[in-house]
Amino acid sequence: MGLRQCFTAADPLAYRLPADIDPSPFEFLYHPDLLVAPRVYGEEIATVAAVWGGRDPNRYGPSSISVLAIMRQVRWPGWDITRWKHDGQEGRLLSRDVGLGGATMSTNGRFSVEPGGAVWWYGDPYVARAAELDAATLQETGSVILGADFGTLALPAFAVDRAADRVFMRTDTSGSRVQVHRLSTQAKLADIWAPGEVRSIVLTHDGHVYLVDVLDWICCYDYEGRFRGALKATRAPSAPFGVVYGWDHYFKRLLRVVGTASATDGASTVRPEGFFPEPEAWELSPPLPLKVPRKGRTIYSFAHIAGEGGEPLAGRRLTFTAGAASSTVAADANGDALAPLTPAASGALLVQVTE
Amino acid sequence: MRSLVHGPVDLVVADSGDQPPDVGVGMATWVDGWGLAVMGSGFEVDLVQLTGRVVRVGSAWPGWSGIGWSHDDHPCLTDRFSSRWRRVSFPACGDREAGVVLPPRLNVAMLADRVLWFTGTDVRAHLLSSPSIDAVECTVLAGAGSGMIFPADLQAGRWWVVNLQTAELALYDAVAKDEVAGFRTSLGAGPLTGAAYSRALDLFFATRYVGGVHQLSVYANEPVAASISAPAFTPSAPRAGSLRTVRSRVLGDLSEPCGGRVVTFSATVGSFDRAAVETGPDGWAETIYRAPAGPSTGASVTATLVE
Repeated sequence: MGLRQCFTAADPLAYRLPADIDPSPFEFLYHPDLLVAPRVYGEEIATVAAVWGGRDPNRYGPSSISVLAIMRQVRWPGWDITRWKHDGQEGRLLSRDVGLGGATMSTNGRFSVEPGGAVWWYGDPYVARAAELDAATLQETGSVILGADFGTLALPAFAVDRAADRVFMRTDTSGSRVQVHRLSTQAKLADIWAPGEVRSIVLTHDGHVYLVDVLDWICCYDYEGRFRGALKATRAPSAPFGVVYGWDHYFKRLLRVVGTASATDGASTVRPEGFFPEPEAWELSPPLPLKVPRKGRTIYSFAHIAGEGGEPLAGRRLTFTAGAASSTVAADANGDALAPLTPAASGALLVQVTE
Repeated sequence: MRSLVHGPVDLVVADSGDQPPDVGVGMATWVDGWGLAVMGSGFEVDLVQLTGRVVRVGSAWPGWSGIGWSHDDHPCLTDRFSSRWRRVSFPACGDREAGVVLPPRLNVAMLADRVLWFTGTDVRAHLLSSPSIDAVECTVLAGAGSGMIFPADLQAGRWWVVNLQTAELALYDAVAKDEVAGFRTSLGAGPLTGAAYSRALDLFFATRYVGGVHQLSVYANEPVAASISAPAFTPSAPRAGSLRTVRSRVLGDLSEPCGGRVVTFSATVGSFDRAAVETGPDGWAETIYRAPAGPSTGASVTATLVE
């Protein structure tokens, strides 16, 4: 992983057995493939929909992480919206709530979470419309933001921070551009970009926005639209149930849920993960002489240290070794370090660089 | 020919799910801190690391179809639908401005008053006042094939141009609208798929497609010595007991002067003020020869390059 991983939930987003799901008014099974041997569970995630974390004291610690997912199940009505809540330190499953939301939400499960904790649904298939939801029931509270007020009839990605008077919206159906607006006046402040199609707009605790794209690039901007840097996570593994990103406002970390395939018996393998948004050193280039080394001539040898996406890592200390001589140099803002080298003798000279 | 200091290394995608790296001919540029940005025929943008690892940054939609650099030091891309060149930031490749609409070009230099592109022989210009018209500004290199133009010294208005078929490189002065003498060289043997230059590192980067694999090679901005001239005396041949300046010149295969090389002089009779001499920036090494006190015939002086 190119980002520093700091959390993997101990418990998965557990599934229920058929007997634990409310009895169906009908005899036939929905989604009978769920019970083809050796599968035994009566439900499975169809799409992971949202993840967020924040202060929420519980028996394991001071915070919790919530995950929303659209489910398919064998009992009537064949679908569900479920919320799991894990503690934020070990990732123990605290609770799960089922039967949330409504039918339209289950087929258009696009949710976002405000820094203040409010949950929004913006999947209305007919209107570019975002609606605030009651956090417990996922029923609409009546607060609505219309895309038309911001000049758009499509809302493939959306986030809002009412306290900071900001709305972020991707309006292209498959685009890498996100518009930043003032919520109060609808005035457009900036366009912000990711390399690929933006799939998550994540708002942090401190007035920054992360655009996460389909290539798992994570581009950071401030609320004025100024670029603050980019990181790259390892491309998400096979995720038949989708990938969703969110922010943990208590531990100040990026959360990710990858909808990985179920085990052979149908059990869930999906676990929330957390990352500090700083790249791990992923690649150290070989040392490159800027001129051909020759006996008695001082030249500079160059090395570059980068994260997984090639993002330069400033300040990392690199040690160059050539024969008995060595020198340690800090990488500059471009992740580049230069060290002098003076071969004392003719012939081959092995130059190495280590972090 | 410039000196190879790294490679060739094969290009390999970082994420196994991606298409293999595909360096479109003439679509590469160096971005400090990020590395070699290349564009593939699938309209994606990739960053090539010095190890050969390739990271995808620009997706195939909306799709980019050209890459270049501006005189005020920004990478530029053009999208294939609007043919509009824009300055962008990496890695997000976000648009910064409305840009300039040009006929389809793979690689350009965006100047304040015009946009340059290079065919492999000719520097051509689109005036911003009438961008649909382009005209030859200067003929620089010879030979068929496509070419690239990329920044060498933006303050001085100098750009490298390369013929991708022959890998020959020349320095172009966009102010004087002429080639700068004494800088013609090459990046190994052609053909190349792309080339770029880091002004911060003074290194050249070249990509080739060899045996079905894209490869990266890095060259120092220093020629490989190919020849050394016979020692010559000035102002005239030595006489018994005289002192004469003797010098030899080290050149590359395209007559590039090779500075910083050590030449050793030896003689069957007589001696030298200094026998081992470093060449200057013009490739000349010179020393003082002391002829023997008595007359001598059949003596020889030899200059040898120590690499």
